[in-house]
Amino acid sequence: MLQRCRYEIRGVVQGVGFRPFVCRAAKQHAVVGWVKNDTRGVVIEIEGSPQQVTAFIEEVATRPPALSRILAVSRVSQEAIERRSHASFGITPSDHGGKREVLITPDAHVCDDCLQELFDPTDRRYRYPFINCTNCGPRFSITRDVPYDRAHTTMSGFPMCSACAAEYGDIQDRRFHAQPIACWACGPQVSLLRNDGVPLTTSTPIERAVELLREGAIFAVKGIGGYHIMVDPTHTRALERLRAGKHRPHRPFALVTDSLADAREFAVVDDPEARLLQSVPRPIVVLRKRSPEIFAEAVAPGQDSYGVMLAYTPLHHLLLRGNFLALVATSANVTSEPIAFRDDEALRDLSGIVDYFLTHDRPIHVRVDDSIVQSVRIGGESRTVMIRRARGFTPLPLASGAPLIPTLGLGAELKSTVSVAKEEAMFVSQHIGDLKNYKNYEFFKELTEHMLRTLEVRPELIACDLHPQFASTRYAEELGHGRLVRVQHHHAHMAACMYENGLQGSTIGVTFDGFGYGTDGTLWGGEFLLGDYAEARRVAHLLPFGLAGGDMAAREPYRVALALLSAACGYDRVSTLPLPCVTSCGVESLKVALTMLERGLNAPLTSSAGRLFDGVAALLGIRSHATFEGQAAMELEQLAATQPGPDEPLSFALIQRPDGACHVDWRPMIREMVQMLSAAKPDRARLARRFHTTLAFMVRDVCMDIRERTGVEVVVLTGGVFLNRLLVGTCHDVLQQAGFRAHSHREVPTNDGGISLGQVLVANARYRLSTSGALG
Amino acid sequence: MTMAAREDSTSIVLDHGSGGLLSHELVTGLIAPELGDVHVGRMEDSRLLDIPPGKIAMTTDSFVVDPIFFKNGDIGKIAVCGTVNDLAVSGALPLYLTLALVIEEGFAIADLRRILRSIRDAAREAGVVIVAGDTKVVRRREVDKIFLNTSGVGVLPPGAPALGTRSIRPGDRVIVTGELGNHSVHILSLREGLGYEDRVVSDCAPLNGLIRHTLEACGDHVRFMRDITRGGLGTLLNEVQREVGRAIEIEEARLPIQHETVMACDMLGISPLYLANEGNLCIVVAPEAAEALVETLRAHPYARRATVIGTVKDTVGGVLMRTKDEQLKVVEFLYGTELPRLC
Repeated sequence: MLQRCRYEIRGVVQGVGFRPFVCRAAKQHAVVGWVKNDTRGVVIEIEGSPQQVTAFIEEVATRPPALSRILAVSRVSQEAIERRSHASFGITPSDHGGKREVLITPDAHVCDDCLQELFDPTDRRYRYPFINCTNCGPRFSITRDVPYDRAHTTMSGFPMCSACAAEYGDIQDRRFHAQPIACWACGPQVSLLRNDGVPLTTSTPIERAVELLREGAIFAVKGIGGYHIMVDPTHTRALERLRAGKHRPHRPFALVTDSLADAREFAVVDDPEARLLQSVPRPIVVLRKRSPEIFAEAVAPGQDSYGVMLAYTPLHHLLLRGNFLALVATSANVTSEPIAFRDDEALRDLSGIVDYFLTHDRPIHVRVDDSIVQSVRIGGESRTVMIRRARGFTPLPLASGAPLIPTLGLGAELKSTVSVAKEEAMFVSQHIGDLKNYKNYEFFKELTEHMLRTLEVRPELIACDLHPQFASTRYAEELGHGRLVRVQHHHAHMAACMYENGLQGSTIGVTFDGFGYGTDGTLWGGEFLLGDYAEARRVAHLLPFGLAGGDMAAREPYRVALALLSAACGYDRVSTLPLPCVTSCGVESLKVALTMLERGLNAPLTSSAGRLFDGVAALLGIRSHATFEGQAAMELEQLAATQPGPDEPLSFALIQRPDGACHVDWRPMIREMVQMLSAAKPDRARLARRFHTTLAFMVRDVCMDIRERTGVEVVVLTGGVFLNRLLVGTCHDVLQQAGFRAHSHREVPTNDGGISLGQVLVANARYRLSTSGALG
Repeated sequence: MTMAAREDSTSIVLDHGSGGLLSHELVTGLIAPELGDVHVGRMEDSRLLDIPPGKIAMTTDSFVVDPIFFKNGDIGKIAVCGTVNDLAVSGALPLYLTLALVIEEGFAIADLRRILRSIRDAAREAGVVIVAGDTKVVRRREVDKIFLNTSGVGVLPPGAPALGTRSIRPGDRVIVTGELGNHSVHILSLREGLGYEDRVVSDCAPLNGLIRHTLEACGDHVRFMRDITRGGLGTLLNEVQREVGRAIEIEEARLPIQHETVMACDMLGISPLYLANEGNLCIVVAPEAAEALVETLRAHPYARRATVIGTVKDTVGGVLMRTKDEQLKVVEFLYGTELPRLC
């Protein structure tokens, strides 16, 4: 007896060698028929005995290619047949009409097979910088539309030569239907330009670039999702020139290196970190510096760690191997603008910063930055935490587990992302950046439209932040279609963290970040919320303090220190305190700042935990002025991490307010710090450690208070402050000891990169609540 | 109460505003003499005015600045300059003002005298006369010391170009004539005791002379003018941008700002783009005339720091600023006011 069955497979199944894999499986199981791509994914028709069919589909569903991700395999038809109507198994042309549901694959690093060929003098692609196959190479960044075929990518302008066409058509070949297939004869080429756009005449541009890099030249190098600026990390003068040109005095630069072994020469890499470095997305991994430091101080000044990634394009390997232990590879932007990806734009914007361009003629369609992750120890086990989710991860979806209303979440402002919900999947965009920057804002709009178009979603719910002045909020208001749902910032954080940990029902959301607009119009940021996806209530928060000069206080942490001191010791006493944050402050600045605080002159009140960290960093004399976001808090964490053990907490108090909310009073802690800092030889590192422990105990005590009143014992720790490894680890420990079930982030960023996802979840939960209410 | 108040001849009492004899004495014995030749009112209910040919321009404004006295001006000078400037930027020749005073009971007569003299001096400089007036006195705390209102009448001569956002074209240049933010910083510093008030002073001035000077020099090329007041240059440009529909791009490095003002703004965490002036013009001019106009402006004492700060683009978009570190930032429409009662 024979059967004819048709299957549809959905998920990340195009551009990953899926059809060749199906062909091989068909051959192996002796079934006939065809496979094709359509806009929903892959369709397979097979004919064979019931046993053959079952074994075949089992193989397809359980052992798919490495880069694929199957969301669903469904049989759409089954019939008994007399005899086979196909002679063999083959690939038929793609269908282009109908609904688009196929998922685009993330960009992937160059695979080991290709790498071997790259350095094999006998291979026809020897040292060809665009070598790729079905297992590797660019995908998302070059895809204009679905289905994923060469014609829909930026490779459409490169007709295949006969050799490539033969490989492309050979089912036995690793490059069978590899859409970006290319070689020296037919594919993209690298060129070397001066910063005025004039090409350098050389037949070996990469080798020439290596020489110039060695001499200290600054390069813009075109990559997968944008340009990197590269310099030799041992070349102090080149680094200093770059820092001056980028207006970036301290913020650490990332490094790219050829291999794990090379990375171990300059960084300490444990096993989980090694796995992260070598994982398919090839993210930047935060690694401790090995001492003595072999690179120039200017690579990551004042930091105990480097951001390191393994080479992920053939070009990286060609530049690095045998030439450099590592190269600085920082996003080619001008401080907080999107990484440049259009060639003319890059030339215009970067010519003032770089000396040369190492570029190529394969266009980038979608900009995507490098992702950043770190490994954190929680309760004795290592866990990966996402800092920036971009290349290698997007556009992979997150499963929602339940059908969702088509929703667009527009995120926050500073580390913005956009999320789209479609059926049972949520698509979180790559990191976009600060929307106050006009180019980022333009990219935000383009990307939103690109996502809605390629996913074919017409959102019924538009979710945005409660902050009336965020550019994303204004965009949401101007969209003019869909129902607008405004989601409080910290509630969105909390929902994102609940989702990631599969939580339902009443939860305590400990949300510590820089700031978010509160439901009362004040600036929140050290919040204890109680609720679920649909609703959350503010039940406790840090005692508010003044931000003298508003946003300026984030750049100048000494202002926060003065606010903390004024509140703890009184305005009059502050100027007499023998602390560096007071004495190093000019008489005039001190007077003006204190006046602003006392009179509430452009000194809005905030309960921000992020600012509390900044303020304490300034109080301990670690940093009074920051040149990038989070710098003071990071340095405070570093100093604290030099100390063993959690140590004892400092004093604090919980004040129950008549309105039921609880204030976490940090003033006793500040007074204790002042006392210790006034001693002859204050132990600042120990104080920094004890501060972290105090915060963890504040979290524990407030949670215990909430549990006593409500019985809720599930806690999520979320918000940008929880990027602090010491804090998140200590909080987990003390909460667990107190009998709580504590959760924090993994794949979704704990910072504002996770907000758009949280907005989608909250908007959907509210919608469900309102419709079920209407029905009931 | 009335008896006691009468004996205290150094301050204003409620009866000064009752319409009786004391009111009459205040007007004829203090206000009219102090205003001198700029006051041509005759105690009538209304005043008939001679108007040269052309279109009539009218405006009104109230003044509540706190403190009422400051360096290079007071509430009286602002009350004249504000209304004169509003008339002049439309291209009109300011001619007549009305003056209404709302005074808090107990206000020192010496202070009122000082304000009246300053009104007189400003009106003389601007070449306008005060043709009608009104005085009210209210109980303590019903106003803060003294509030003024002035209305103004001017005339736009026949054939004179009517200036407005409608004539703005892509490529036009944006000029500001003076340093941004000084009035705000000065007032704020005085009020809060911040210590900048001696180094950063108000720029309060009548600008009709400067505007006439500008229009005579290159009137055909000037598209639009407005004086930068509450909300600052940032708000002004956003208002213009909404009407024009084109992006306006300015350069941070070109903005004329006094060094001490920059320091004060940094300290206060406020942007000079949203601070008020009382004697500063924003002019949009055809590109070919921009440099010549800047030269002409700089010859005038109120415009020594006149500078081209930006361009009207041919793209759709908002107000953008190329910052000193080469980023393009959106200059937003301010959501609410940053600072209270500056004029």
